[in-house]
Amino acid sequence: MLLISSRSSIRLGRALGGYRRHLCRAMSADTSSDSNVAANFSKYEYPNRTEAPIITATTADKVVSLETSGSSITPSNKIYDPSDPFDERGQLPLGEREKIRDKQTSDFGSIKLSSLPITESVPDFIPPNVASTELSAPETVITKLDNGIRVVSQETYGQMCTVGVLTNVGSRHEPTSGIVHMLETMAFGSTKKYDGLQIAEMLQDWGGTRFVSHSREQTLHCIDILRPNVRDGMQLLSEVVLNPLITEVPQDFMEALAVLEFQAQEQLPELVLGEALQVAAYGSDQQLGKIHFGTQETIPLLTPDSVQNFYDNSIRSNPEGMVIAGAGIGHKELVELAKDYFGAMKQSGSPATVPSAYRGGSHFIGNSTQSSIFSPTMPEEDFCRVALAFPVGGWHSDSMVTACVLQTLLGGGSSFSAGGPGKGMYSRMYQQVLNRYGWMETAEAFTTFADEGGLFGVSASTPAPNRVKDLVTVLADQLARLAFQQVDDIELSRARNMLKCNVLTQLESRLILFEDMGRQVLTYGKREDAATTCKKIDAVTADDIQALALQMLKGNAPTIAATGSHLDQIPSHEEIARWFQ
Amino acid sequence: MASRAAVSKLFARRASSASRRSLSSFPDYVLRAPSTDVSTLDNGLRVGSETVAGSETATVGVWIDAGSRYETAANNGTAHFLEHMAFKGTSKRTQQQLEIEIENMGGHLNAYTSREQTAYFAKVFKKDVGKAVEIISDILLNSKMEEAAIDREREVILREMSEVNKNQEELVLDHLHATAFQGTSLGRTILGSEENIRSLTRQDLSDYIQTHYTAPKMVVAGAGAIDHEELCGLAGEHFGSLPSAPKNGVDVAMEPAVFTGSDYRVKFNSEDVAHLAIAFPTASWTSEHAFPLMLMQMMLGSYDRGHGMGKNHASNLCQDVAENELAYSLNTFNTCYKDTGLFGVYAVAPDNKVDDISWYIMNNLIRLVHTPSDAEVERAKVSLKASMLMNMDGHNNVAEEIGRSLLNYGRRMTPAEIFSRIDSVTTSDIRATAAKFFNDQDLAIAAVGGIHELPDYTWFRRHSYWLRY
Repeated sequence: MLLISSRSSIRLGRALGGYRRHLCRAMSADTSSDSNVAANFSKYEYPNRTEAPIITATTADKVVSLETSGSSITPSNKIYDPSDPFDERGQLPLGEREKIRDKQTSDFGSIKLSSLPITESVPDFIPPNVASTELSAPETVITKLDNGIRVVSQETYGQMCTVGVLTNVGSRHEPTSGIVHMLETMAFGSTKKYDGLQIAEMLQDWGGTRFVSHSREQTLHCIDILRPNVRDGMQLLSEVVLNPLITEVPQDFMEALAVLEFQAQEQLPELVLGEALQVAAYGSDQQLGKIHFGTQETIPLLTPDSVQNFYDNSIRSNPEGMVIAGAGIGHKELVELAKDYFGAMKQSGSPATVPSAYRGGSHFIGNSTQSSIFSPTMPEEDFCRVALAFPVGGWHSDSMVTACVLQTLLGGGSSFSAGGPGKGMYSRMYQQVLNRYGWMETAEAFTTFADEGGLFGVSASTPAPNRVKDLVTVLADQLARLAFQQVDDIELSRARNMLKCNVLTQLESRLILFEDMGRQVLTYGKREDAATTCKKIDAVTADDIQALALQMLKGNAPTIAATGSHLDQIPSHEEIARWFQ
Repeated sequence: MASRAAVSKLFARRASSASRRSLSSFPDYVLRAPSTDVSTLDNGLRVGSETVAGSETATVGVWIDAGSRYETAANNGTAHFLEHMAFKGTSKRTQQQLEIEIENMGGHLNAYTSREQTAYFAKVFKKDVGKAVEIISDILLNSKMEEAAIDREREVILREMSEVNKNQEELVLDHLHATAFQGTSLGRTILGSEENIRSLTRQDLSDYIQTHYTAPKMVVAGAGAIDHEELCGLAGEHFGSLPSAPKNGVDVAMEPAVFTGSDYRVKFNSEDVAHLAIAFPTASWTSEHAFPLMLMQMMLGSYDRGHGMGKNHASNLCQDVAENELAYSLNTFNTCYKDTGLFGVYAVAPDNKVDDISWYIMNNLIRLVHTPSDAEVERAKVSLKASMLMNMDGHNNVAEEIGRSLLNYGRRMTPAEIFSRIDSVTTSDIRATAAKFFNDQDLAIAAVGGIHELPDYTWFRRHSYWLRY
C-alpha cells in the first residue's frame, strides 16, 4: 500500500489517467461498502424521533470516476483554432482536464507561506507586554458635560472597548404602546446618513458588535469595538441614537418582530408572563402597568409622525437624561468623543414620569388570547405558568439589597438543568419545591424594580392540569412562611455569598461593567463600587428579611399572573388573598 | 520548589534584541495588557495565571491533556464518565458535603470533557482560592467511585446522551468525526457508546486516572484575583504528589488520526429539514496554516435567518445563502486537534434546497483557492481580532484560554503576537492554504434529516476543484 502511494509520481499518474488520485487514496482508505446499514435505531442516539432512519455510508475508494464527460473529438480535428483545448461541445477532453488539475497542484504547492508555525518559544519580533506593576487597579470616573450629559468610564486593559448611550426614557413614557419596543427592534437600522446595509458593513469593518436593550424605564444602545476604532463607533452611535430614520412604521415593525420572535421563541413565555405581572400589579392605566411590547392592536396605530414626535421630545431633547458610558477606554478620550458627537444637544424637554401606585390583582393570558400581546404565531403551550408577587421598594429603597438577598435565598430554576454545584441547588426553591414535587417543571424567585417601587415574587410552571392548584398553594406557602419563620443563619450566609459572587463575576465582563456604570449613573447619579455593594449585602440580617416579608405581605393584595394552559384551575384572587390574611 | 519562569521576564530579556522598528509597530493598547505568568513544578506540572488588578474573584482549574481520543473502542466514554463521578464524593467529602461547601462559599464548580482535553474549574472569592485548589485536587485524585454510584450514574449519562443528540448540530458533528476519522480514536464520541456507558467498570475509571493523570499532562490555570507565587505554592501542596509518569508504567501514546474521505447519511423520510456538515481535514493547533484557516473561517462566516442581518453580510457564502434563501442557518467551523483539524460548513436547510446549498458551499470553499480578494481578507482580519478578543471577557474565559494554550501551544500568546500573526497573513497564504487542504482533495460529509436531495460522494469530490486556467 505504502509503496504505491509514495510512488504516485506524475508518471504513474499519467499512466492511470484521470483516476489516479482516487486509486492512490483508495489504498489507504478503510473499506466500507455503500450499503444500507441496518437501522440500529437507538432512542439515545436519535431521541424525539419515532421513525427508523435509513442509514447509508460511502468511502472515497468507491468512487470510480470524477470526469465522465470525455469526448472522442480531439482538439486537432477542430475547424477553427487547433490550439483551443475545448471540443465541439464546449467541453474539455479528459486529458486536458487532467493537465489542469496537475498544474494547479504543482503551482499551488510551490507557494511559500508568510504565516509561521506556532512554536514553543516566543518569536523574537514580539515585544513584551507592559509590566503588570504599571497597570494600576482601574477606577470609575464620572464627568458632567456642559449640556448635562454625564460621561462615565473605567479602564479594563483590554483591546476591545464597549461604549454606549443610555437614556432615562422608556416605554412607560410613550403615548402609544409599542413605540419604545419598535425603536429597540429597529435600532441600528437606517439613519438619516446611512442605510442599514452600510451600518452593518461599517461595524464589520471596525470589528464592532452592537447591542440594544430598551425597557420600561431606560433605553440602551452600545457597541463592543476594537479599541482603535472607537471614534468611528462613537460617530455611528450618535447617528443611530440621534438621527434614526423613521418611515413605514407598522410594516417594518411587523417584519422585524417576526424575526425577533423567531429568535426569542424559547424566552417568549417568560416575557409574556412578565408583562401579565405588570398589568396585574399596577393596572394598564398606570405607567408601570402598560404593556411594553407592541401588539397586534397597537402597532397599526403607530405612525412615523407619532414615533418621530416622541423621539424628538424625549430622547433628542434630553441631554440631562442621557449617560454615555465606556468600559475599556480612557476617561479623557471618552469625554472628548462625547463632546464631539453629543455636545451639540440642548435641553428642551424630558419625559414625564408619573409614579404608579401598587394595586395588586390578577391577569391571565391564555393560549387563545396570546396573540393580543405579541403575535399570532406564538406556539401553544402545554404548561401552566403562574407568578405570585407582592410589592417591595424600588431602585431607591433601603430594602432593595434585602430583596435581592431573599431572591437568592429562595433561588430555584429548572428541574432539568446543567451545571455543577454553585447554581443554587441548596436554595429553597430547589430543596423544598423542585426536589420534592416531580410535577414541577420550573420554580424560582424573582424581583423587578422601577423608580417608585418593585415586585418580589415566586413563579413556577407545570404541565399537569390537576396540579395547578397545588402549584399556587406551594408558591403561596413559600412566601407566607418568610413572615412567620426566620431564615436560618447558614442559608442566609450562603445566599449572601452567592449574591456577592454573582455580582462580582458579572462585573468581570466588559459589557456588564459598561451596563452597570451606565444604569447606576442614570438612576443614582453616581456609581457605587462593588466593594460597597458587597458590604451592603453582608449587612442584611434575618430580621431584615422577616421585616421585608411582613411589610410586603401585610395589608397588600397579592398580584397573580398566569400564562399558558389550564388557567381555569387557578384559584380566584379572593381565595389567594384570603390565604395571606 | 517551583522553578519560576515568568513569561513577562522572558519577554523582558528578548525585548532588547527586538528591533526598534517592530516595537513601534505595536500600539500602546496592545501592549498594555496583563501578562501570563507560567511556572513548571518539579514533577512537571505547569502553573499558568493572569492577575487582574483590582479583582475580588478568581477562576482556578486544572486542564488535562486527556479526552475521549485517548480511549480505546473498549473504554470509550471513560473520560466523560470520570467527570461525572468526580462530583459524587471523595474519600474526604460526601457528595452532599462537597455541594454544600461550594454553595456556602458562594462558589461554582464545573467540568467538561472534550475529544482532547478534560477540565475541572471553580469560580471563587479571592480568599477562597486555596480552598478551591484543594477541592479540585480532592475530586480529581480522591474520587470515591463507589460501585453503586457508578451504576446510578449510567442512567444519568444516557439521559445526557439523548439531550446532546437532541441538538442536531452536535449529532451531525459527531457523525462527521465518526466518518472522517473512522476506525481511529478521534472518530469516537465523547460520551461513548450506549453499550460502553452501560458496561464501563470502576477498574476502567481508575485505570484511566493512573494512565492519564500525570503531572506533565496537567496544567493548573488561574485568572483574576490570583497571586502567581501563591498559586504555585498551592499547586505544589495539592498536586505535588502527582507522578511524572504513569504509575502502572503504561504510557499510552495518542493514536494518530487517519482521515478517510467518506460520507454518512441518516435519512428520515418524513422530515423536511436537513442538517448537514461538509468538511476537509486540515492542520493542527500549531501549524503555519492555523491562522490562515482562522481567517478563512471568518471569510466564509455564519448566517442565521433569524438574526435580521438579512443580506447585509460581508461573507460571499452568506450573501449567496441569504439571496437564494438556501438555509435557516449556517456556520463555518474550524476545529483543531494535535495532529489534524476539520474545516467545513454546517448548515440547516429546507429539504428542497439541499442540492443548491451543497453547490454553493463547495463553490465558496473552492473559491478561496482561486479568487479570494484582498479586501475580504483584510475585513476578515478585523473580524478575527475582534472575535478572539471579545471572547476574553471574564476570568472563566481567561483561565480556560491559559489552560488550553499551555496544553496546545506550550505557552500563551500575547495580544501583540496574535495581532502580529493575523496581520502577517496574506491573500496568497489564504490561496495556498485553501489549495493544500481543499483543492482536489477528499472530504467528509455527514447529514441527518430530510436529505433525499443530498448529492452523492462523487459529486462532492468532483466539486472539490475547478477546471480553470
